[in-house]
Amino acid sequence: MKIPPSLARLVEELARLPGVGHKTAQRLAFSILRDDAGRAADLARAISEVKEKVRFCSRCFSYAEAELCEVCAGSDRDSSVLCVVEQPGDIYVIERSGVFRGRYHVLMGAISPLDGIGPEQLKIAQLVRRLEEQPVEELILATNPSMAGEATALHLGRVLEGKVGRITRLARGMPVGANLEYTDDVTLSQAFTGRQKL
Amino acid sequence: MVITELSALDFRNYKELLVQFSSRVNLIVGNNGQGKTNLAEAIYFLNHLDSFRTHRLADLVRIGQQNAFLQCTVLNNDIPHKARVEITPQGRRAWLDEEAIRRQSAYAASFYALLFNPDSLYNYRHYPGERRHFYDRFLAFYDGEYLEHLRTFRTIHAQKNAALKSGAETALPEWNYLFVQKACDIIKRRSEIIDRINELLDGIYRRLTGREGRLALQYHSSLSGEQARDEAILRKNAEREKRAGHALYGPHRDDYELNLGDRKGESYLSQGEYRISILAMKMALNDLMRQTKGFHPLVILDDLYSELDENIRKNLNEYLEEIPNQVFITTTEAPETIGLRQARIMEVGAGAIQIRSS
Ligand SMILES: Nc1ncnc2c1ncn2[C@@H]1O[C@H](COP(=O)(O)OP(=O)(O)OP(=O)(O)O)[C@@H](O)[C@H]1O
Ligand SMILES: [Mg+2]
Ligand SMILES: [Zn+2]
Repeated sequence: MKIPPSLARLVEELARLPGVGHKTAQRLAFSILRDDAGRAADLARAISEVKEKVRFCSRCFSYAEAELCEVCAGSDRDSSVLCVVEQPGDIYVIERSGVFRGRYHVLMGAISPLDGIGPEQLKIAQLVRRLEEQPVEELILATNPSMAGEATALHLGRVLEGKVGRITRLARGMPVGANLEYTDDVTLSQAFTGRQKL
Repeated sequence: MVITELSALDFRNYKELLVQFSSRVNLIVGNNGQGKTNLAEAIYFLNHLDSFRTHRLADLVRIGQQNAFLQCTVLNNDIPHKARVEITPQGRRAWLDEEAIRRQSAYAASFYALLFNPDSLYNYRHYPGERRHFYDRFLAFYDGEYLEHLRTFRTIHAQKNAALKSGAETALPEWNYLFVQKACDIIKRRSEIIDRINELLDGIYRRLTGREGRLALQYHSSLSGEQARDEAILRKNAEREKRAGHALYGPHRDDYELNLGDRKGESYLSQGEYRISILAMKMALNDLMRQTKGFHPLVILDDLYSELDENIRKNLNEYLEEIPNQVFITTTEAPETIGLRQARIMEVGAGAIQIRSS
């Protein structure tokens, strides 16, 4: 017997998600089917709401539900320090560790010619403008310790030279090749305290 | 390290094989086309998980069969280990003490075979890529950090080439900076190892030939291994590299050259001179592994005696019976004429092996 078309479609959609293979997608789909109708509707609503409501903060490009994200809108943050990360998700990792009280800027990636990503594809021009409008005392480059992350940090160091008081790079407490996303709090907090001048 | 026993199923021309080796010199004799090199290949494969004469795994499986199996008992510091390899149409899988090996490098840290074989010799002599690969493999074993440096360099190299090809100013100065940084890590290690080999090389050459040779390895690199200087070289040649669309300077272009006295380069030496020079180089690597790591690699010498004169053969045999390594020698010549004193003699005939004396 063939799988009913609407179920097959759900499996196909789920399988498109990262880290979800066909088998897992099928398991998820069956589990959704088994749940009562209310739960499934909640899930559907949550999915469409997240797309409707969540957008990028117009200042730092992290996730927000308003024009500005919580950090940019907050008055309790230290405006003299700005931390540059590759992805919006990186912010939550740093926030969870609680070591940093400044503000953020998301680049939306890292320089990687192999993937066709150059400085123009990243939010670097926006960063330069932002720093001109609101100068900071210290800029912390928290790009990943991958080669793309290193190149990005070096590039920022070059284009921002003389424009910021102090540019630092997270210390290498972090395992080489690791992603910020998978770094534990202790390591991350060490990396912040041991950050070095670029 | 010592391989005490090897078994094979459907590997090359061996349908079924079980042999016990001497922990010292094993002399494997037999006519052409009987399976001497195949046995050397089996031993090598168990050490490096690849072959020295083919990149196609299917070649290793006996014609008409699907799968091949190899297994051996290895003594490393007198502790026995069991290494097992399976070659299937899907690829190869390896186990060490019944634990699956996921990365070749995990295995490569504890096994090493020094190989001398006519085809590999030819490739080493004619292709710079082969020479780089040979010393890279040695360095990966010798220096625990080398492989990581090399991997990082390859990533940067690929990124830099993509940047050069795209034509856009894709942060090229940054890639060049990272490129030089890693290049220096590699060049320093390569040039250091060649210095250490040279300290030993000529002594071994003189011992094996009885001649005043002044044998030396020379390392050539298009970069100096010094950050500021190499960055300047890349800056000066930025336009050329952009036009070429790939990196023109760096360790990916390095080369190694054998010099015998004032004859510099691979092409100046006679067949026999070249063979004995390469043998001396491999014995220098052997000494280096013993001195710095207390490690004794396997020494596999396939078709050893061709093109070597009486005098060199005699010195070579003495040398091989003196070093502590386990040695495998193959030859088509009659064992009585070889002049080895204590070797275990095995005869290969049509994919079967018989022990003639131990
Ligand atoms: N996959 C295979 N299946 C069956 N036979 C094979 C396979 N690969 C190679 N052979 C054969 O195995 C035989 C032995 O080869 P090998 O290279 O070991 O010979 P050898 O004893 O080293 O000879 P020589 O003295 O000429 O170097 C050859 O006849 C070769 O054709
Ligand atoms: Mg042969
Ligand atoms: Zn924001």
